[in-house]
Amino acid sequence: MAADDRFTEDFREAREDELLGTIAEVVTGPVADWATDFSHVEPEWAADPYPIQDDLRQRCPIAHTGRFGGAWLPTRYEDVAAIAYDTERFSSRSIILSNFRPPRELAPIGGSPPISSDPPFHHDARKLLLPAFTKAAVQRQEPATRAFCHSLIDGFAGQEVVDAAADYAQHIPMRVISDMLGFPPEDGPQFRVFVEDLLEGINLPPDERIERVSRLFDYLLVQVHDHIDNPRDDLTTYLLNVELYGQKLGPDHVVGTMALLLIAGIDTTWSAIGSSLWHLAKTPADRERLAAEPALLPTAMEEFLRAFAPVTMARLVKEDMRWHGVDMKADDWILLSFPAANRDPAQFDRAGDVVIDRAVNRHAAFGLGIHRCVGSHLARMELRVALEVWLERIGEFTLADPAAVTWSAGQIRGPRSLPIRIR
Amino acid sequence: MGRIAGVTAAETRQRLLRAAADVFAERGYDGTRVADIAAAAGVSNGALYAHFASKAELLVDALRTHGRRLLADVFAADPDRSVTDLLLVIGRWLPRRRGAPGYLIVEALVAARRDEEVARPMRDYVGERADWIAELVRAAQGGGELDPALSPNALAHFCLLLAMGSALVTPDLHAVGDEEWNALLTRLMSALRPRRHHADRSDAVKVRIDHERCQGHGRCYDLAPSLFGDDDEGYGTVLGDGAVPPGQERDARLAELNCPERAIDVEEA
Repeated sequence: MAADDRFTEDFREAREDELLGTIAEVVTGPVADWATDFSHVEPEWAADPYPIQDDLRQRCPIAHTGRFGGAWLPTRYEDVAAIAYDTERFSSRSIILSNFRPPRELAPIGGSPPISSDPPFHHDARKLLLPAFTKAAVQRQEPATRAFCHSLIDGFAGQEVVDAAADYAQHIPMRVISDMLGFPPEDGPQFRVFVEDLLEGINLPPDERIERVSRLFDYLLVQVHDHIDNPRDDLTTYLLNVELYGQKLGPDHVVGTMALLLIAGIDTTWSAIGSSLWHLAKTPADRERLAAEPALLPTAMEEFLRAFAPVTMARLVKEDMRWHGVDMKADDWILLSFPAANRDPAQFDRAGDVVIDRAVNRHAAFGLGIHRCVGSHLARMELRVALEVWLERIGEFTLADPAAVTWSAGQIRGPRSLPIRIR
Repeated sequence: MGRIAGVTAAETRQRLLRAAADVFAERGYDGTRVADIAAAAGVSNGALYAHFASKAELLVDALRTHGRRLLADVFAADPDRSVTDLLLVIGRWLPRRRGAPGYLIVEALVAARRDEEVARPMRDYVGERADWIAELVRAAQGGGELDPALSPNALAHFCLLLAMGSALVTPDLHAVGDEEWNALLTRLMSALRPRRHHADRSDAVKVRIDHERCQGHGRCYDLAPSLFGDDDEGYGTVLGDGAVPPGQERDARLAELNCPERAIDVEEA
């Protein structure tokens, strides 16, 4: 077989050229007024964003901030859906809101296709991934996932208090996605650092942020070379071989998609599992009902996904325009809050309550429109198995110390420290 | 007057609430003094204040007691009654409502307009009634009696408007015949039942997917796996010709109502 020469030093240099975007001044510190100065990385938002969103939905449904070089935050379901569907006026070329805007020329591919891609390229890049993430395909991961969840709980032996986020939730998606990509399972701790760098480090000085992001790409290149030398049946080898428009993918497409699968597959599901366990630990009635009626779990799970939707996306405004009553400028960010949409009383009855037998639940936790989370079937499988095993193995559990629960800041929200008393 | 010998605190409380209902109904909220209620109940002002902090609290608590008693009576008459029957029974009774509880609501609504001290507990009271009805609606939706697409809150609101309105439009202002009123309520209730309820017409029900809208969320094939499947890329597909076999109408409706992209239609052929 001919050597794969796509991943050379030249590729790294080409990639660095792409990073010539625009950089906004870093603004941090307490928010004065959430309607005009919001920041989703401040501690108040991380601790409990829902009252803030509820308040904004009432008095200023499309909030603004001058931070990050200018951004808008719609909180009504209707507006969030309209933006998710409108790929003509809102670009996905960067979906993590930060002080750095990639250049417009990066569209329609973006840095991590297909999540960062716009039509028409998006459709073709996404099509490559879909077969690996169907419900039937992810079911093949279920026995190993279940066994792994049991092994994590076996590890709790002798402990009265465990950290359900750090010792349980986070490991499950890490293990599943590293198996699917064919990365060494013991690299999990590094994945956590990558996730934090990319998603929570958005207010770091630009140079440091670039430095940290490039650590992820260094790691991915090592995996690429390992797979070129030792091809095997996994997603990395698949991405190295698959063809689009009659040729193999460009190197930045391969590595960008690997980064996407690794990052998007981890802290999202980790957050969903953690939030669900947090709710059950502090709500004995729901915990007891699920223990007594295991068949209710799929319905309850959808409610946890609605009420604690972990993922907020971002868009960039393409051109200056008046949109739903506000003046948006080209390159303004949109913080596309699916969590806020999911708690809009105009869309959901008892929007602020967790109703575990809610039969009609048209939530947007996995997004709406062409960018529907490609891993949603995988995430649902992991969440269901994680909760089934936990509920089966741990009969009674409570929050050991509600004040010790901490939540991630930024666009992915879930518990990062969750001490639970298990006996 | 001191405490009446041999009477428990609970009995005194009940006696005060009954007296309050009568006196408020007779003299209106503004025309009633706390002392009038104490006198009517045969207790001292001091004893009254041991139970109730204010006139406003007496008004709203009296309302609560009467509301509960009505419902308790309806329940006791037939505990196995379905939720829709329960709503019908209450609805049938509404145009005939007379007496203290009806006047009490009117007094409380009027007082709440002017007096924040009444308005606050009234908001709580009305909220409780709405929640109670919404819970009933949810139970009825879970049991297949009412269409799960209906908003329990909207239906609760509708019932509240009827109930409170019936206190204002009394039979002497405008009357309606029992039979015609019952016929209207029955008709309304049947419109609220799950669509395609009748099994004999089920072979006429078909599911359809709008492939332009479908994004492969998979809610349809999760919720109704005998009606929907998926293709190699995870997009939803209709199994067979989409005809919904008897007994699967609810699954079909749930698939329709849970599709985040609104890509599913359940339609009569």
